[in-house]
Amino acid sequence: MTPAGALQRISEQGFEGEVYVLECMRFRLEYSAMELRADAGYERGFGVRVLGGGRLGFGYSTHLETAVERALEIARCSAKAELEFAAPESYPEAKVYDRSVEALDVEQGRELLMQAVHACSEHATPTQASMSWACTRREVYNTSGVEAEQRSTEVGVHVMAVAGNASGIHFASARSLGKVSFAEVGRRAGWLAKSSKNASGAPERVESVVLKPVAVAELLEHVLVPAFSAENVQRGRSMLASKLGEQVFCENFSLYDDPTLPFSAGSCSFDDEGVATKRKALVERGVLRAYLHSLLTARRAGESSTGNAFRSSYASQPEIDATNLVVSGGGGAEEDGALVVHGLIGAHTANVVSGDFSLETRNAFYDGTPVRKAIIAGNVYEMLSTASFGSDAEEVAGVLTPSMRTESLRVTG
Amino acid sequence: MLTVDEFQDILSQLKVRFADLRMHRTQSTTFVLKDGRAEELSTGVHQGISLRVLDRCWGFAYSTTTEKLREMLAYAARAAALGEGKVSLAEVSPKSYRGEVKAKQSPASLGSEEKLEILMRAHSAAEEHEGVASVTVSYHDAMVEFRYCSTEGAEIEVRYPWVSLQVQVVARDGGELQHAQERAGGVAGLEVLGDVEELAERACERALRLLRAKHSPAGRMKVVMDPKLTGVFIHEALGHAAEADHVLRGESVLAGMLGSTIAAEQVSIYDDPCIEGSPGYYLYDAEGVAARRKALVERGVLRAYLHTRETAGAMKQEAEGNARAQGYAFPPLPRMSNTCMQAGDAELEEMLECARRGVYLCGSRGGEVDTARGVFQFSAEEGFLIEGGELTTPLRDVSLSGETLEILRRIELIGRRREMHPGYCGKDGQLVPVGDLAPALLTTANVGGRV
Repeated sequence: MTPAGALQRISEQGFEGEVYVLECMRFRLEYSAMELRADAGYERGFGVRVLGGGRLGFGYSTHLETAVERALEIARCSAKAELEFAAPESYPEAKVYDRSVEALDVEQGRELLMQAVHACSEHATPTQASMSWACTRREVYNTSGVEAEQRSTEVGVHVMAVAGNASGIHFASARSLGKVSFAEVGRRAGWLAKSSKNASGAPERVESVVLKPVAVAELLEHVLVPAFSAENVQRGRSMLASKLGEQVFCENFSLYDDPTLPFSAGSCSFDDEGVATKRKALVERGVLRAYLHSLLTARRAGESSTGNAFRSSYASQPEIDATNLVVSGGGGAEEDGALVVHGLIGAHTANVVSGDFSLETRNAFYDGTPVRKAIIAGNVYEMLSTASFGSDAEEVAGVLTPSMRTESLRVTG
Repeated sequence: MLTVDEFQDILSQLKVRFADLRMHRTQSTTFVLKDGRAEELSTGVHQGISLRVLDRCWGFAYSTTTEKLREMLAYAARAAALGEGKVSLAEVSPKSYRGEVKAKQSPASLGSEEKLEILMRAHSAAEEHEGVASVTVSYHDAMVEFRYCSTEGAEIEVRYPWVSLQVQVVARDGGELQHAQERAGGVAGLEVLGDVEELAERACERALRLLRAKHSPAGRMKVVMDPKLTGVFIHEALGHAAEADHVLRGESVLAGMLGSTIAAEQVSIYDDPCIEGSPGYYLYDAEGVAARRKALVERGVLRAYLHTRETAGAMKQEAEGNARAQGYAFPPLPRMSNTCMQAGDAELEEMLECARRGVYLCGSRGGEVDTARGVFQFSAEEGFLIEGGELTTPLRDVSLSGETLEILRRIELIGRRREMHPGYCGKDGQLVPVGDLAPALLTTANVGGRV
């Protein structure tokens, strides 16, 4: 069965339909003290949504026919959903496919991975390093006439290093080989481990904290982004509900959702419902400008989808998420007298609804001296109402942000 | 999908030291009821095959189609020739087994409408509470078919069910929002859900209590962990450090400590995949090794690590059935099944009395552990101040952190009642269902708060 055949079958049953196809080849090489390890995989699957009399059904399978039948069967039980599938439109060009990724062979892959390993070894012992690459084809078809297809590539590298009783982690991911510096990732992981050796306890009474880009990215992604989801807003689960146009954060803080960054991890031309993506301001100089919408939430709000519905696999329904996040800000992020934090442990454990968090830091320094253990606690909304930002913007896996300095956190040892 | 004969045929054509094949086929149904609306109903089938070859190192290939499997295998086999030949597998006797884990009340015995009825009951029980702003009830059931065979002659076929339900509640008071969730589930039928109304009510009560809760004092203090948090603690802090791949890579604080005393004398901790109906229940692991219960810590002494055949081979120890994989697309890793702590003899009142002043922390919103440094952090779902040996003010956004071994040594009292809680454990991008079976305990730890 072809996607066109599936849509015809769905129409014949009196339903509207949408077929999502995900085809992906993934490769991964892992180096560790144990041994090299290689993975290669192919996956092709279908997610089918059908809509009839307002009822929505979702079926998935590695066989399109099964997915269609499952969707039709389950639609009978569902509640009314105010969904309308996407209308055809033209999609913006996006730099998401790098031929050199598709052409990578296992020997070249190993060479790149070893660049990271060797750069790390100059500072510390690399305990685990991996690189992965993937070639993906994403397709969305629906009975309103959408026919979207995009090929994209992904490359990622992750290095973990140990020096004495200290450890360091660094990583990168993007859509082109040129955008990932393997040696730099290895060097940074090794350097973090080495510089964190012989750490002492947390200093007394630290008033200021500087979060380096990786730590800022972790907090934003896990704690702040869910509040921009229109679904959370509509269901009363977002602190940003009914605050559009208001000064919610400090003037130093602007935040954009930007799918157009060339070869960034979250770049794409259309989302997984076939809606064109575009760059948009979420926060401008502290003022809340927009929420992230899917077709369903946009229709409920009487607006247009912002193209932010994404699926984690062919077997998942679309969920609202950002593409790439870009923080632009000012005010400076001087490190003097501040606890400088390179990463966080367990940012996903923060309270996504209230924005409260209490997290162990990874690779923290005070006055250039490593700190063995420090917990930072606070609230992401309070923090962003007074924070200031440096000019050292760095892109880490789809988040482009400078360091941030804040006086609103409590530090304990 | 392939038959066992076709499996054996592919394996016999490979010229390698060792190869094995896994096939997973999962039929599942997922219902999400958001604020009482059954908008997200889905059902489908996942299936795929993976093939692992051991030459100079592992090459792992998977595919959703048989044709593409051969292409992926070519890549994996080429990569497998690049290693240094360091892998040696622990010997096991190849098993033949064919069987099914039966559900008492099979999910297939109910139609979709009747299943939705269960979700609605949980939703209604939650919705009644004043102050509840939003309720999400998620239900998942699956029938999994797992096949394994190897060039050593193992042949395993198991079918097993899975059922789980989660209630998530958001409560609001003015501009203040708090959330809480409860979950039930296991390798079982619908009977594992128990009383879903009670589950929903527990989530509501906690979310509402959190609205009134105060921020916690911070610093080093006496901590009583409830059974759920103890479970998370032994899983996160001890269990992960006992995974032999971490030990071999120099990433575990437990490296070189077999036979050493690492915890207070009354502490015994087991990994037990043989508890029927539990979240971490299985008969054979992802390498076809029969599952069995093993002591990790016995009366304070570290007794064993968790192994795959590779890590057991590297350490000249025994493979005891802890190789697990999320599905066909993932290679097996050393993982926990159900992490269990032996009960003690203390009542909660006794632990509070003994603590006098400190915090009582309940449940966990998740956590993370740096196994190399032996440092962990997790956020409790809620807490209470202990003052004069009694529970007083409710607390929120409390995190617990410290050095695993120090906390294990400082355990003073262990509770007499245990609770089993289901969870999903993430490692190297793979999620597997696990259970934590533990009592409450009294120890000393670092508490992070904002007061």
